[in-house]
Amino acid sequence: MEFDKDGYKVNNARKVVVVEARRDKNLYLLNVKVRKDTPHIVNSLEESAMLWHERLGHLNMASLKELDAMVDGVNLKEVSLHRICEGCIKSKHEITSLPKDEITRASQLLEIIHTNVCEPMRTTSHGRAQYFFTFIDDFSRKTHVYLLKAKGKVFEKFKQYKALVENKIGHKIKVLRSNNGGEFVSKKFDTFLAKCGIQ
Amino acid sequence: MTNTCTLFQQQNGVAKCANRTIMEFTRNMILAQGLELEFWGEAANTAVYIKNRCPTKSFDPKTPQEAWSGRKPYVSHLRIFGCKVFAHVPDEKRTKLESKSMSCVFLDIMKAPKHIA
Repeated sequence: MEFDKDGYKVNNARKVVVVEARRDKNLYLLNVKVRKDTPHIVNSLEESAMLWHERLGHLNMASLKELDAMVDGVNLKEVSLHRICEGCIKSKHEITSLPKDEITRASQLLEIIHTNVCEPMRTTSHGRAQYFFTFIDDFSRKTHVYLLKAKGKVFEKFKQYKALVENKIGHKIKVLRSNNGGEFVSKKFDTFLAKCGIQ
Repeated sequence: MTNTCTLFQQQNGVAKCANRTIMEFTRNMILAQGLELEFWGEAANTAVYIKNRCPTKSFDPKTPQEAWSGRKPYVSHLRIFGCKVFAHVPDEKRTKLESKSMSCVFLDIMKAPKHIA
């Protein structure tokens, strides 16, 4: 491709000009010369695999490979299984599973505390509670449960739980792990955790 | 606090799974005894109490309660949730001819005395 002040030219391997464009201010006006000996469609193997993939309603590549032997009129020699198609990503994207080896287990009591609030119950309990939420010690899997009228009370209950277990076990909570729900994210909560040195 | 990505609940698997187990215990105990649904609070408390005294895969061969407190848990006082029980009425609270016991429904394992009939 050659640029000059009047426009640009595209040469093929034999230095023959195949495309010429005239420059008009910031616009390049294409003047396409179609030569008879130039192939119009670049029909590489990969592209035709993609073409058939799209023609067959974004059929998966493994089936496409099998299809070649089953029908006439499709001429595929090589199908790459890992070709990325944007349409497929948009419509078929799934969550990749979490790597198992990254899960860390606590080596002593109160090292990691898991917490989660349940979905609201339709029936309120006798104490008018609508939620229950749990604290689970990762090391022993000892569970504590609290009933709640509203999610906003999580902070109060956490303080209660913290006092209870730290008094019982004798050392402090190191890590609190939650699902980042609204009830766990507040300035008050964050400041309290920072003050107690909980990660 | 280590937060997992919002809407990516798998990262909070331990807590999610525990809540599910508790819900299953709760639902089962209420439905099996034909109790009113509003007893879910008591049932959930009982569920956790039982869960802490049941085997767990992650801390074999101890129960969570033993791993937590260092003592083997005592379970002979467990009764079926929602079953009929008779509570003793102390002498001071009754006259000579009144019943010595009161029939109740068993709902709270934590507050129950260890000698229920």
